[in-house]
Amino acid sequence: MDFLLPKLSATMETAVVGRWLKKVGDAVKTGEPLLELETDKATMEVESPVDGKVIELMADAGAELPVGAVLARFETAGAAAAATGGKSAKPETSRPPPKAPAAAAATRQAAAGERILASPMAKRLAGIHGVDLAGLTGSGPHGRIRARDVLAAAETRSEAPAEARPAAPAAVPAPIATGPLPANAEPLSPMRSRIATAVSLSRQTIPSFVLDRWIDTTAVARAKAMLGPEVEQSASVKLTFTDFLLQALADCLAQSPRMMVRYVEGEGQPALVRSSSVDIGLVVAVEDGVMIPILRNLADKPLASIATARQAAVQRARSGRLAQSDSEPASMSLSNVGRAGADRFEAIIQPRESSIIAIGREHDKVVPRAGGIAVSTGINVTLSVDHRLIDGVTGAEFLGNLADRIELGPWSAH
Amino acid sequence: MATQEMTYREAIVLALQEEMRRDPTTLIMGEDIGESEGPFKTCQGLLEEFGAARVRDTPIAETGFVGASLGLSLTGYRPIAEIMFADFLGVAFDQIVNGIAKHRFMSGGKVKTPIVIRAIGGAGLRFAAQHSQTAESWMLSVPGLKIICPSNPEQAYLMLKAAIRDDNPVLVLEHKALMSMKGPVPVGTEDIAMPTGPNILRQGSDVTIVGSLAMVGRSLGAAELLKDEGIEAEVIDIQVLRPMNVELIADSVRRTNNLVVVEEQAPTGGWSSDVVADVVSQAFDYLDSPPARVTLPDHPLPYSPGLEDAMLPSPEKIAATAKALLE
Repeated sequence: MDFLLPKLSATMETAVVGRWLKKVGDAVKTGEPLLELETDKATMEVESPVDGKVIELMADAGAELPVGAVLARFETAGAAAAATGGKSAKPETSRPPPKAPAAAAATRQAAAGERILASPMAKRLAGIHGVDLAGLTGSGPHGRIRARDVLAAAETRSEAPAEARPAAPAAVPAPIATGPLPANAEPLSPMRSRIATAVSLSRQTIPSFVLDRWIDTTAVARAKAMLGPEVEQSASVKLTFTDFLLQALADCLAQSPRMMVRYVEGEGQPALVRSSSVDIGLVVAVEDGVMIPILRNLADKPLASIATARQAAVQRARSGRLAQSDSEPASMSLSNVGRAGADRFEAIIQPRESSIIAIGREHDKVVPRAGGIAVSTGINVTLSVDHRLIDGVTGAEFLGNLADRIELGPWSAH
Repeated sequence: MATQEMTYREAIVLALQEEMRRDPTTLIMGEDIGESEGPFKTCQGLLEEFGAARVRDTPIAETGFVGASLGLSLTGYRPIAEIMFADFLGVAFDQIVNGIAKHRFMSGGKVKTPIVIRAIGGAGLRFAAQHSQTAESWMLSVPGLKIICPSNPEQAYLMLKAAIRDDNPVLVLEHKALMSMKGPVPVGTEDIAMPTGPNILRQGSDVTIVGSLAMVGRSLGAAELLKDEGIEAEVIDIQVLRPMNVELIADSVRRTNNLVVVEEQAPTGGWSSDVVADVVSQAFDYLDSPPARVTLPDHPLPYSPGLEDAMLPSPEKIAATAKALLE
């Protein structure tokens, strides 16, 4: 890459090259002094912007050069490290030169930390729809990316069939009957047939069993009343019961590596894949079906971030536009029927995942407590696991941890 | 209760009449409000009906009669003071800011101060620099005061009645250019509540336009112009300047993602800046363009009709500002 004369102060237009502190063939590290420059303000050392090797020095000591002139060429250690400008002793004035030569321009897109001009709404929508702002051209003033640009990108993408939620894997095991349909039969909507394929595949291929646990939620209700207004104030998002479940699940998953696995087959062999981050699929009821966006990297996330991510995920699902990141399966999904009528239910594990947690409606029941009887407010939690990878002991331990976590806290809001 | 078509001015008169009939402790004071019935005829017929003890002509001494309102309120009356031109509020500044606004608090809540100060302000009628200001922001930063701004006859009627019944000091800013505006008024309304925030007057999905007093009508005019260009503007009357509540505006911006605030005051130190600041705080992630403000230029209002008209935010200017946000 080319190393260009950086602008080291607001008024600087040229600089006189002082002493080179490196010579051709020297290895340099990011931040290592490279040469001295005399500017209109002072003489200062300029640091290397990259890790690499000096392959050519292109400016002689004593030469006065304009900002943007090529000072040296580097062979860089990694293309990702390529930055167009030098990192100077005064970082606030160090910017990429206004006109980068062609070689540097080619690396611009990859330059880390380059500011993308986008409206707050556009950034928010990009998060919801999983659109990468770096790939967009803004239609607003100064090339600012507007909400409409993000929506157009999401629209274009959702028209491409490959982007639909791949709930159904390629192989459909059961042949579909080829005989005539009854006269009054209606075709399934695309979503219904995807669900039909997915759940059939799950039932036919995943040998699962279920475990149950009653979990008292009094503490959650109390924490929600205390932390809810605070989070709403700071993060502009309403805390829901699901956010607490997600934080508890994330904590328990992070401590249960045996649950963070997925069953795969290939080369004629069964195998397992370990999840590298705590991801949870969230079953979202939508018109005529369900969508399962995935919440990523939930480990150690405070409730405010979880609620924000959950809200974005629900919006993705409701808008019918899941993101690319939703197509990689998680190890576990969460299905919460909320206030609907069921006390408990068993959910069907998503193909390619290994467990699913089903939450019944919150209700009161009489329980023994301290030798007497008491009324407990809580939920039935039903865990379905893929027995190919997860045994009863593992599942039961996980449920036990989850119960302790939900009943005892602690909850971190921020 | 029946709805009657009447002017903004008649709505003010009606509210005063109904409330003075309802409560014998109410009385009104001001310059030329007796036999002359007020410079804008907002006290028409009051002297005749209620007599000189309850409809008191005062000398040109705002400090005196505004100060007297505080004394009256402390001794069981519900005084209403009319400030002929809102520009004269400055004369009684100390009485309002240090006396009226603070008395209830400084007595530890032991006394009530049910005082209404009505002030007629605004430009557009060739009254020049000292008689054309809305004074909307002058007392914006004074805790203890409520400041409300009716933008149509119905609001003039309902807000003034609510102000008179309120046990706290209320500054009612009326606009002289609206005096002849006609509209339906729910005559005889008994169930009165003080407005607590803004009101959506026209729904739209593309941009939110917020105004007060005469700027509300101009914003509605702008919305009509924008409609011709396929832009749906939501128009909101701020109604209550103090205590300011922008929640509804923030909600609107969450839907439209764009905000224009129109204020008939100079560009600095006004309520439009507060609206923008609060909306940015509450709905930052929903903004798709930098919020814009349309205000008067930083200059006293001129007498020259051509110059005065040019200074005021026109529907065309508001529409152009909104349109620029969407480009």
